[in-house]
Amino acid sequence: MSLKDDYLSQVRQARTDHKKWVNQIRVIVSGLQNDKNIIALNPSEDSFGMWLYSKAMAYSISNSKLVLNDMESLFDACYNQYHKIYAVLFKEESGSIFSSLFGSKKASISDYKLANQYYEILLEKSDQLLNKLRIFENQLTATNFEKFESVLSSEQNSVKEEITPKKKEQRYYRGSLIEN
Amino acid sequence: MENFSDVQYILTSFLMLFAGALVMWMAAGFAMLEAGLTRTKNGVVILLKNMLLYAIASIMFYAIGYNLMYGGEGIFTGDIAFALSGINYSDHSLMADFFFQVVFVATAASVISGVVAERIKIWPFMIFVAFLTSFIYPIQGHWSWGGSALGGFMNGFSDFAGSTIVHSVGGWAALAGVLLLGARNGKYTKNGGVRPIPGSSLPLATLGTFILWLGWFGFNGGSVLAMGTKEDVDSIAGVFAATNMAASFGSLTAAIATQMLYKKIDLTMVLNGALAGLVAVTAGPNLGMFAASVDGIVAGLLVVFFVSFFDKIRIDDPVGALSVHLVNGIWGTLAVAIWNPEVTFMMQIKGIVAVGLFTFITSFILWFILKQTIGIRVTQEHEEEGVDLHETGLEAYPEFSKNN
Repeated sequence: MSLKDDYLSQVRQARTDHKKWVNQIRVIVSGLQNDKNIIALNPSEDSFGMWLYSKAMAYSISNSKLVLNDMESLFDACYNQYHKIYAVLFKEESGSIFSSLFGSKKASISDYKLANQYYEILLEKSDQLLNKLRIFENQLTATNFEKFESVLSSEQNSVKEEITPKKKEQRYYRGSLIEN
Repeated sequence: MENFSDVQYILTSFLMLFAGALVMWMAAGFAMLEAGLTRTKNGVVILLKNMLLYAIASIMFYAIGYNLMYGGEGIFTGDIAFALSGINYSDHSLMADFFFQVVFVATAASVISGVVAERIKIWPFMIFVAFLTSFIYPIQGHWSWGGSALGGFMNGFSDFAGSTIVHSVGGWAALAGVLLLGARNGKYTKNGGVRPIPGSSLPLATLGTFILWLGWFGFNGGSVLAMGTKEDVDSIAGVFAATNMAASFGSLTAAIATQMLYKKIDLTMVLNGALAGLVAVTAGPNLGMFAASVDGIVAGLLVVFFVSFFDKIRIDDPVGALSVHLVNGIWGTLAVAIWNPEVTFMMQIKGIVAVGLFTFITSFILWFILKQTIGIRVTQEHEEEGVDLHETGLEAYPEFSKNN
């Protein structure tokens, strides 16, 4: 498998991961699932987020930069909606005797209604995100192998340089070693 | 003008006044150097100390010190009299002489300020300065410049402008203080390591050093104490040139030494190197350019070595004043015996020991009394937050403060 094929398969996997994430939220807002730990609260810990912030960004120096920026904004917007849903459905009455005795307060019907409204917005943002992902995939498909590999290898090299710290020289102040 | 002696009187008095003004400017140099080599959170107290010590030195030396140093024929001290009473000179103005001498006293006090910086309380420091400038400095000064020679013990001791009498005295008094005061919090680690505390402004420290360098022309040049003849002027010019040469070699040597030891040039050591050269040559700036050059080279090496040495024995000196003024005050005084055939090492050692012992012991007792009574060190909390806020309520750089 070439580098390009490998990269395209990762894009498809990312799409699948994102759809799975949206479906998990649909299950939550419909009341079928009330495990708040099923979805990561931090976007960078989510499967799609991990791909977006690492592998996808490796291609951001080419003409896909704009579409990747759009994807990042939309993904943030999706997560903003999820945070609102989380706050509504999994809220706790902190400090009350009852909450400490019986756990978190159960969400009401009106809470679920509000969560569904947030979910509708999330779904809209998610559709936009998937559209952008499709554009990104098309751009990658249209790129010839040589250019694709040169872009990725130069980016990977620069990433490697950033990760590998330069050997720091020892510095002294008035004869005492300054710790870096 | 009635005769030639009047011209001599005028010119000599003018030399003292002009040189005195240059030396007074050294107070600014000390303030900038100290402020630059310490942290901004302590800047106000440092400036305040340098300002007030000069004021206290001026008042106390006028009221008591000058008579103790130059009045009378006593072996141990001069006259206990008030405000220059009973003293007169025929060849120059008394007030010119007083003004020139008083700025030297302030210089000795300034040395202490740098060593105890960033953890000393203001008022105990000021009380110490008042005693130093009223009694300690004038009494030891009476043995040499006052002419008593301590009953013959210090016969032949030669210290032209005060490597020992001014600079080492400041150094010994500071050493006594810092032994009782202790190091700044965090300077030394429990496992014996030294944690550098970089200064806040190297441009300020450099400006301070240049001001001191300029002031030193007055310090050494004025110490010729006569400008009545062509030979006097030649002597003054020679002293100026030798002073400049020692500072030049001191700074250059420190630069080369730090490059070799630490693979990079340390500006703060170069600044100290220049000052070390100046302190060293102060005992004999009239001994020629070669002597000044060697004085400066050795001083530059000594300062680089002793800054690390004092850290190794856990004596925390933020500005390197002990290495500059105490160590090189001793070196410069000893070096006179190398270049001046009329002076022996024994004569110089006796003078160094007498002045050193007297200054260190009296200073230690005074610091100890202050420590036991009103305390000399700020609290740990105040030290961490910076002494400025607690001692003065002000900040040196309020725009950059986290409190705003």
